[in-house]
Formats: sequence, structure tokens, C-alpha cells
Amino acid sequence: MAIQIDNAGFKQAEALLSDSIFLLNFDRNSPKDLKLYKLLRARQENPDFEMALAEFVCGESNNSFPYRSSYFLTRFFTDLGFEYIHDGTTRRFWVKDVLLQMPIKELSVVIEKGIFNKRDFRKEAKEKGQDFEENYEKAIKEFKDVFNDSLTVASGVDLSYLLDFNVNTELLFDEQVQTEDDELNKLIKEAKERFFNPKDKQIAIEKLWDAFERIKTYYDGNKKQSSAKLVSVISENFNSEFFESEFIVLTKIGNDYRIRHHETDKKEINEIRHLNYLFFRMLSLITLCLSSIDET
Amino acid sequence: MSNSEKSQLLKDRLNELIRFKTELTAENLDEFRTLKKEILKLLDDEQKHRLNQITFYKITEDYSNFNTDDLPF
Repeated sequence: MAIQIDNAGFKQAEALLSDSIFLLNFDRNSPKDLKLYKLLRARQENPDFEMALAEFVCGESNNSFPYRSSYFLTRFFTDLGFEYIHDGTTRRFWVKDVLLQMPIKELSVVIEKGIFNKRDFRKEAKEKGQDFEENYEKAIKEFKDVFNDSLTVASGVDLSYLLDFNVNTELLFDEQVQTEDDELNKLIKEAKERFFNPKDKQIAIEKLWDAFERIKTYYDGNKKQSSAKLVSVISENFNSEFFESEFIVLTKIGNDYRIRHHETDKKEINEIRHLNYLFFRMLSLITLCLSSIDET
Repeated sequence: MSNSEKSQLLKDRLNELIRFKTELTAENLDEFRTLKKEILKLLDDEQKHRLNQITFYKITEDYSNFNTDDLPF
């Protein structure tokens, strides 16, 4: 048995380890390092990142980048100071393999000084009678699309997404409400049930804010005194000012927006994402109050 | 393990890997495989996936000691 070493494979591994070392040491205050970090994230998130870049380098028919033949591919890399000579294999696969051998710093040079080299764009536009500016802008957009897709593409799908499951949501929704105050229990239960229906989110919010006002009087008919006690109970071993301010802010939101009052001067919440945010912010606070009450 | 410790370990493993680039043989293949396993422990999931996709070598038949007397005809 004999071993035939694959140099390209070793260089890919070297690049991979160099990138890992960079991730552990990069300076978060350095714009240059942050740029590399962002690029590296795209590289790591998207297994096809190098192939997408390779198609830009080759100037495939489906993009706006200048076409490069075998000779010009070799020149592309040598002009940037890298010694890679095209071996006659399929261009984009060869370029992909070359890019995989480059640590992130070198890859950034390929992008900044190679892929977006204006001279090549001008030459191609002149030869084909096209508008250089237009091609260049289109190429930038195509690159940005690949880059942004890379950051959002996941190698798989989160199981919780497939199961329509959100850990935080489930935890909050599964919490059984069983206080001595039946009216309070009913309000929270109805708020949760209605929240699942997109058309009922507004009502769900209103019910939840009603529950909040109700829970404020849990200890005493005097809302101010009872609220103060409640804040002190939930703040045990924590910062009471934080929860005081949370009570004030959420009360104010309930009063200023069309949640507890429906006068014409009250602002409407039109965006579902804001309704969702407010619902969970309030539900979290109420859940904390309930669990703290339970312990007293 | 702190970032600096991990970084140093990765640098050490990288140097060992570079050594194998010229010295990998059938005799030290197990040593190389152990190194690869040690490197994998230091990587996150995406990096592990990438490393596992890399081809480092091909195993071929060794014909250096072959002579025609070995032929069955």
C-alpha cells in the first residue's frame, strides 16, 4: 500500500485552521478584522460560498462578471500574487478548489482586488459594447445577494421550525395559570387562546393588559400598594428599579395605545410584529409575577 | 479552555498538519488519523463538516517491489 498525498486537500485544511485561529483572535474594534469576520461567517454558513465566488471569477453566463478563459484564470490569480495555474479541468470547479485553499485574508484580496477589478469590467464592456457602470453595479448587487443569502442560509432546517415550535413561546404558553383569582386566570387563558388566531391578536393584547391591571391588585384593593408589594416580591435577589420601570413602561403603553382605552387620540398598533413583541413582553412579566406569587 | 489556549492548540496542530503534507506515508497513517481526530475536537460543527469533506490522500497499490516472477502466468 502506498500513499499519494493530495496537496490541495492539505492546503484546504491549512486554510480552515487558519480561519479558526483568526476567529479566536480577531480584534472586534478593527474595521479590517470585522470585515474579514463577516466574510468568514458567510463562508462558514454557506457550504457553496466558494462555488458562488468561483462563478463570479469565471464570469459564467448567468452573471454580470467578465468572462475569463483558462489563460485569464491563471493570470487572474498570478496578478494577485497567487501561484495557481489552471490545469485544463472545468473552470468553475478548478477555481472553487483554489478558493477553498485560501484563508479568509487571501479570499478577501481575491474579492476586493480580483473579482471587482474595474479594469476587467471596462475591458469586457468595451469589447461587447456594453455599459461598464451598469455591469459593475449589477455585479455588486449579485455579489451582495450571494453574501446575504449565505448569512441566512442554514445547512439544515431547525427542528423547532419544522415542528412549529418555539422554545420560549412553548414555555410561556405551557405555564398553567392557577391563582386564587378566577377572573385573572380566565383573562390570561383567553389571551393565550386568542393569540393563536392572527385576527384576534389585538383582543389577546387587550385581555393580557386587563390581566396585568388585575394582577396589580392581587395583594390589595389599593392598586398602588399592591403593585409595590408585587414588585418587591418579583424583585427578590434582583434589581427592583428594573421591575418598577417595567411596570411603569407597560402601564404607559397600555394607556397610550389602543389597548386599554379606545378614544380617538389613542394610537393604533398596526404591525403584527409589534403586537407580538408587546404580547410576549407582557406575558413574560405576568408569568414572572405568577411564579413569584406561587412561591409566597 | 480559553480562546488563547484553544488558539495555541490549533496553531500546534496546524504545524503538525503541515509536517504531514510532505511526510505522510502508509507507516504513519494512523498517527495522521489521530491528529485529524484531535483537530476535529477543536472545531465547531460547520468547520468539522468542512474538514471531513477534505481529501488528504489516496491509497494506491505499491508496485515498487513488483517483478514479473509474481505473475501467475
